[in-house]
Amino acid sequence: MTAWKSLAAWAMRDQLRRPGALLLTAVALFSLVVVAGVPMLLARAMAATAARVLKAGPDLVVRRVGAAGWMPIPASPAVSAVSGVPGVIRVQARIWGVVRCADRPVTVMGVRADNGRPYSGLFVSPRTGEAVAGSVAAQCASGGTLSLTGAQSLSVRLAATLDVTEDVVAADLVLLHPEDARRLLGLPEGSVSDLALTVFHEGEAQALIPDIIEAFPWPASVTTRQQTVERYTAGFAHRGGFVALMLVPALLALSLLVAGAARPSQKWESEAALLKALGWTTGDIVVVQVAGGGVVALVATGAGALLSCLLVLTPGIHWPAELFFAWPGGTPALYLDASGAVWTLLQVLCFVLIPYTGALLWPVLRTAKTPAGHMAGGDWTL
Amino acid sequence: MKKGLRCEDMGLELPDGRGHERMVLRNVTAVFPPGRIALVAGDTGAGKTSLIHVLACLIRPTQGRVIADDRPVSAWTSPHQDRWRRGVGIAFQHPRLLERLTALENVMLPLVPFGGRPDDLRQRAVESMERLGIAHLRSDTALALSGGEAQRTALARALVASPRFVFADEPTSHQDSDGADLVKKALGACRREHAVVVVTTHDSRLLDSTLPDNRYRLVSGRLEALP
Repeated sequence: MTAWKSLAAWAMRDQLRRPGALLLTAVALFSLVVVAGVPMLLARAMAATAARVLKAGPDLVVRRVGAAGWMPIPASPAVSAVSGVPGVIRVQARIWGVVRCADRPVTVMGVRADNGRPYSGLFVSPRTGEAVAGSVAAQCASGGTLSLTGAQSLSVRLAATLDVTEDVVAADLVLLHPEDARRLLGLPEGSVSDLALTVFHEGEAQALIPDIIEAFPWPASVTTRQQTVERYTAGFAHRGGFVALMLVPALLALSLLVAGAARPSQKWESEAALLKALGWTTGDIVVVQVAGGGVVALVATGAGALLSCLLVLTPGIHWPAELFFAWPGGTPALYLDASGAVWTLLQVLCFVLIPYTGALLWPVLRTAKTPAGHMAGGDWTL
Repeated sequence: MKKGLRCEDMGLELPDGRGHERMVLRNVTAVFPPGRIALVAGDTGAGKTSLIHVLACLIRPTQGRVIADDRPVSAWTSPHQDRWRRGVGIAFQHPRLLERLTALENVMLPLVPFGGRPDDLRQRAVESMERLGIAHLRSDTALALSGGEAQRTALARALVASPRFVFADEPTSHQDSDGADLVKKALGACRREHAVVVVTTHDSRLLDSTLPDNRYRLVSGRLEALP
């Protein structure tokens, strides 16, 4: 067995001689990674998932604005006007709005088979008197019937529910036949809520906005897909900001852990001085420190990272919506995007492991050039 | 002289605790050849322990130098001295065993940085303990050992790696006559292995024995060779 293996084996055996301290350190590091990892992983996964789902949406959304806020858009003239703008290749007039279902708000959308799909996975076309609802919106159904209240009241049969994997944006959605939706929302005949535009090059969407606004005889607000994604992301970041408050005690705990590890006790220095007197080098003591403390830290933080992944990325989880987001009217199951999770976890592990390893090494390196007899507790001459 | 240990005009000043420096060792010049046992006698406070610590490069002399196998080890940086000390075995006046370890594990400590299979390290440690008659205590924790047992454990630890330089500070101070005989035998074995052995003592059982090849007396920090 080479020297470092021998030293590492010694270090691990030495750790097992102090099971209480070992357990305490492991639990502290494990908790730190979970407390720091879950909010970071959740914020990233929510934003990534929303971006993925919204990517299938329109490049631009046009709404009419007036002194009272949003106003209905006369569909035919508006579609004709915007279709003439160079670069716009498809226009979809959409009917949607927020109504109440039992005691909770839901988002109603009128869709037809030839309307395309408002979000990535919604290949549905409800008939008159029928509805297709997201998982949360579906919970307000009574006896298979949704009772909706907007400008008017409407009862429709719940024909199907949407794919739960898109709950992050579609949990509170109710899809209706356009005429049902128009009646429920109180939109005049021939009017729609907004226009969804597809452009030839997504990169040119921003540049087309002045021409699009110019095309209408009324004031219009145009939103790009990028802005929609950013709004979602900012929303998650805002919520994540509250979540990040959890990092404050984590930082405090990390500081205490690091301070405890970095502050060499008289006993530690005395022992290090003795080991040096017995022929151990600074390198040997570093190996023992890193192998002993490092293995514990790696196992504990690895377990913490694994639990963080399970808590956030397990398909169909409910707890983040319940705990952090307080989404109205029930808690959607989340199927979050795992892309980038490894990078986020690496950041969390570095956040914990770098200061901790530094703290383990600091007392050894600080006394590297001190003669054994002059180290605190090692001055045996007097 | 190429091999062995020598000190040249070595002096050591240490703080006396009242804000002044006290000269502990003065102009010490001596040669400690390999395969010979040097015994340094002296009254309490004469500087015997300081001499051992300077020879083992645990502290630096304030003047002069220590030369080991023709290399000025006292002038080296601490990391180099630490590595050189792998060939040194030290038995301190107080045993300085690690309390959380067993006697066997304490004896194994100097072997760990050399590497090797754990069973081999354990075997070598047991053999060193057997030489000092304490093998039966291998599983006892350091706290459970008596003063004499702890002292012999510390000497077993000093000798376990077959060091080239052996420094023993009052190795028989807590020993009964049987224990003292075992200590003398163990030190005698070092002579046969051509180690440089320096022993400080004021124990007449060592002073009057046939163990030492050279005798010195330390008086007020000055080392005087005795006939």
